[in-house]
Parts: sequence; structure tokens; C-alpha cells
Amino acid sequence: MIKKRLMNISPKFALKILILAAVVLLGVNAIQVNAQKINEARQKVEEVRTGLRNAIKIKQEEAKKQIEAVREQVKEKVKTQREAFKEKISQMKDERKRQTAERLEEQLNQINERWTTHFSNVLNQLENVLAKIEIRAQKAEVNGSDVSSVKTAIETARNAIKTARDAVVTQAAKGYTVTFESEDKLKDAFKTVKEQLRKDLTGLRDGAIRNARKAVQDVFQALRQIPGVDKEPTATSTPAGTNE
Amino acid sequence: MKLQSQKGNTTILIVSTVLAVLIIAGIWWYYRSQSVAGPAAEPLSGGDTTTIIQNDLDAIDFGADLEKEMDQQLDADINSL
Repeated sequence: MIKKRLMNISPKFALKILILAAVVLLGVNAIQVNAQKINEARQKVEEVRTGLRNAIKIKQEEAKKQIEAVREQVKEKVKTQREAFKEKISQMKDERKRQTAERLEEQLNQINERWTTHFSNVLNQLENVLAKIEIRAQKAEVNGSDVSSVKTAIETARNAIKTARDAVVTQAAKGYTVTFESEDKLKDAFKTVKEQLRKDLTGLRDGAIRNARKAVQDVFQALRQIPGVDKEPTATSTPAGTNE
Repeated sequence: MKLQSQKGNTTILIVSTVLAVLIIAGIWWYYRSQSVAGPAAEPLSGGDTTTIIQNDLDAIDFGADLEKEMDQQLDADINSL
């Protein structure tokens, strides 16, 4: 029955059907190729993202361990000086003053610890922002944009963050102990050490940390200059400089 | 009359065949694209648009209150000595 019906189809009609089927299959194939290109672009960006995440995690863990190690070293280093200080204030007659001096001496070092941890976290955050910029730049590159200026700025920012990390470690390695001749000079002795700590911490904040921040902001500015930078990768363009 | 009926049946047969081809091609394309895409098929926005990056930068506390906090924490005790 079917065979009989098919025999009745005119060649002209059959040709039309064949052309229609070919067009449909070509269309399906074109969609398939386009989808594959998009997926390849996405996979490339995903690889960059995973690589960056892992590298940052390792770097931040190392930085944390380094700071913890220098803190232990500094505790050992100032141990003798702290003992001498405690010995000296134990001879003070005024109990309230003695307690205040003990508390202040601990606070000075706690402040240093707290702020060096804070600045280390700031650098972690800057690194995370830098990674986001890098992923976005990678997407822009996949979309065919020229991201060379961003790449150069990223290198500068990485160096600035590295310099700041070293400066944080240097600051974390400092111990603050008070030495005084007599009880009436205790107040001035604390004022001097407090000012030194303040100078060191603000110097770190306004120096290396600010430079790292500016370097990351410069990268961000370079990224924003790229037209259509927030566009997700598509398969319609070829990544610049990735042709083989 | 019979010829017209036969022609109608043929048209139905051809349309059915074309539809079947389209459905099979669609299913094949869907499964193929799924295996190629894998985990990367998830949306890539992932929080890295310039607006989100700007917000992240703005949210970082660079220690503007350092001096104020130090003074609050230490000055009263130092002055009491």
C-alpha cells in the first residue's frame, strides 16, 4: 500500500521534499555547530576561572601561614623585653596603674595583630576582585576584544599586591614593648609606643595597601574602556590572538 | 475522485515523514548539545560584570577608621597613668 502510494509521487514533488529535508538538516547542523562554539568559549572561560580560584586559594593560605609564623617569631623575640616590663611594673605601688599598664601593653600588640590581619584580608579581597576582572577580560577576549591593556595592568596590580603582602608581613613581625625609667615617665613611654604603632599602621595603609588598591582600580578602569565588556561570550567572533 | 484521495494520502505521508525527521533531529541535537556542554552549560555571569566588580571594590574597608579606633581604645587608659 505504502509502496504503491510512493510510486505515485511525481519526481518534481519528491525533489521539493528532498530539498526541504536538506534545508532542515543544514539548519539543525548550523545550530549544533553554533552551540558547540559557544560551549567551547564557555569552557575556556571556566578553565580560567577554576585556575584563578585555585591559585588565589593557595596564595592566600600561604600568606596566612606566613603571618602566623612571623607572629610566633615576634612573640619569642620580645619575650625577654616583655618579662622585663612586667617585672618593672610589678614594683609599682598603685595597683590600678599596674593593671592599666599591663592591659595597655597587651592592647598595643593586639591592635597590631588585628590591623595586620585586616590588611591581609583587604589584599585577599583585592585579589578576588582582580580575579573577577581577569575572568571578565577573558570573556571580552573570547568576544574578539583587544584586552592587552588590561593584561598589562593586571601584571602591575599583581606586583603591587605582592609588595603589599610583604609589607604586611614586615609589620606583623614587629613587636611593641614599652621601656620606662621611672613610674612618672610611664605615660609618656606609652604615648611614644602608641605613636610609633600608629605611624607604622597608617604608613602601611597609606603606602603599600593604597598602592595595591590603586593598581586594582587602574585595571578596572582599563577593563571599563573595552566596548561591550559586559557581553557574555558568543560564537559569532573569534578570540583575538588565539588563532592557531 | 480516487486519484485525489491517493494524492491526499501521499501528502499526509510526506508531511508525517518530514515531521518525524524533524523530531528525531531535534532529539539528537538536544542530547548531543547536553553531552558537549556538561557542567559549563551553567550561566557564566558568575558575578563579574563591571557593576558587581565596582560594588565589590566599594565594599572593601581600607581602614579609614584606624586612627579613630586606636585613640578610642588607648587614649583613656594612657591618660589615666
